[in-house]
Amino acid sequence: MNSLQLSRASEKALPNPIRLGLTQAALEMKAFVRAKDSVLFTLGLPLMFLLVFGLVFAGELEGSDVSVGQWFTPGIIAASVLSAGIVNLATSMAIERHDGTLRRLALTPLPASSYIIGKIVMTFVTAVGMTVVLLAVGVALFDVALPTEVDRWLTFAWVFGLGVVAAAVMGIAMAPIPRTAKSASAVFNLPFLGLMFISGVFIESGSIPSWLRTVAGVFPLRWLASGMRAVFLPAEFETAVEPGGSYDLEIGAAVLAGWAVLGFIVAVATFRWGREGRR
Amino acid sequence: MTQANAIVARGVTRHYGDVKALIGVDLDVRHGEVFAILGPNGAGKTTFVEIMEGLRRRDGGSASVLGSDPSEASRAWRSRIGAVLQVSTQNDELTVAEMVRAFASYYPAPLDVDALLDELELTDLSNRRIHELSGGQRRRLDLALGLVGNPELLFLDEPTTGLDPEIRIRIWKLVEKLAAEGMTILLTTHYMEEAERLADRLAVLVAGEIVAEGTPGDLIGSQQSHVSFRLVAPLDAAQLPQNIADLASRDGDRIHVSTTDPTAMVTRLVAWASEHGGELAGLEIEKRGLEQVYLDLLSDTRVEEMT
Repeated sequence: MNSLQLSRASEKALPNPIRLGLTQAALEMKAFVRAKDSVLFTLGLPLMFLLVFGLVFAGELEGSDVSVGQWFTPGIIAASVLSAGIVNLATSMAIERHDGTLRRLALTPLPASSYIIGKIVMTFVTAVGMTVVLLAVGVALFDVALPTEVDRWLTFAWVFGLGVVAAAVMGIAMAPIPRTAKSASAVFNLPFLGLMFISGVFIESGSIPSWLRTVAGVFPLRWLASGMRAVFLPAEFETAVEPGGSYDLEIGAAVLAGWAVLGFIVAVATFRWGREGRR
Repeated sequence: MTQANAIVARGVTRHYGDVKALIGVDLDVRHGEVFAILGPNGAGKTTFVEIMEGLRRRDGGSASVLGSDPSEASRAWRSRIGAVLQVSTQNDELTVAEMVRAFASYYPAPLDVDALLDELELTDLSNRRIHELSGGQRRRLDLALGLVGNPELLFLDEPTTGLDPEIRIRIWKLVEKLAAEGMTILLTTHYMEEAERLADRLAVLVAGEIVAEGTPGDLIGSQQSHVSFRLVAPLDAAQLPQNIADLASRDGDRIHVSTTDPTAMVTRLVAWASEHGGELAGLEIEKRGLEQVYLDLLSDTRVEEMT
């Protein structure tokens, strides 16, 4: 049997914030996978979109050899990335603000940066999980073809990575908004659903009024979706389908990076461990 | 090297809207002592402790905890304090051991986790999910989380409220052991028994003000004791000397006399009785416990508030 030694050793350095952030991420993941219902609904959301659209619009798009699954996949991935941040992350942080978890952590020497790193890594893992499940089912059941060119995968990597960072810091910045834990989910789903409908994720952007398209162009989802279409759709779709006849990847990169910076500034300025006290 | 006290609070005030939660609290906690803040619910105990922990802001006054203002505390400062909040932690899906190890990783020189779990009799529960724990088990986990950083100063906010007597005694023994090892502990409680048993010194906080402070012995000693007896013929209350009658009250056939020196009072009463050819029937000297002292302090304050 071990006996408790309270003797105080000489001064030791505080643990590294980045290493602590990764430890936090591992804990978040452990807790996440154990909540089976939450795993099912999180990973199931993009899948549900694919199943619904795939079955409703069964077959191929008129005048092309692209399957319905292929057509909807980029938009669903874009929406999944965004929701991992502004819905999942924001909700979990809002709950932790209200259920005492953050107050308890505020009493420890855990730096805010480590907590936030943990949340961003967790958002990344969530988005990867949603995408992998979606692509696996898409390839198996809905004739989704994965890109073969390295270029396309490179595009995928930066659009996905930048999208996750932007969505995560936006989620952190939005986390203080709900006044109770119960309202969190409703508060965060509304802007997400709104963006999904105006950003041409599932609807061809030609059928969206031009002023609404302009509004959507300010937000990250429309650009995430364009970036993902550049990865998953044949080259001829660019001129035929895209607003302005181009994926405009440079503009997309700038908008996503802009949201990442803005979100970061707001997140740092508004992050609180509790309603008052430790910043 | 002279060390300032672990906690020095001067004129700490806090309002919630129009409600005054703390009205100028002065308090010193010395290094190595167990200090208890005793008070009823809503007295401001938690507000005070959370200000000292840096979790809450104060509206006025000054505070120094381990040499720093808790409202501007650093990571290094946080690694020197430990705390058990009144409300338990919520991270439900992790196991006891995972949670304690995670907290251990936040500190520069944590305690040995296995030994700590052993000490708190949590070893058998170490693989149990936190949401499966009972109230008492959860409270022991809270203690483990507060202790794992091996703090110099430990805050315990009502550590045993709502627990059954067996677990309460177990926690008391642990606190006594930590105190014996030299840990400084600030404890809040509304149990007189707990304060009397654990505290080297204590303060009674009522409605945001400290109404009494000292060792448990001081507080008991400074208060009135009661001497009472049954009035049997030929004794007559009207014959009591004026200086005793002023301190006396009558309850049926019993006479109660308040005094700070019960021995002297009994001597005088016996002399008076034999002078009048009687004796003191059913003589009782009520030795005042902290509980009675505390209840008197509470009722005094309430009377003052009403007037």
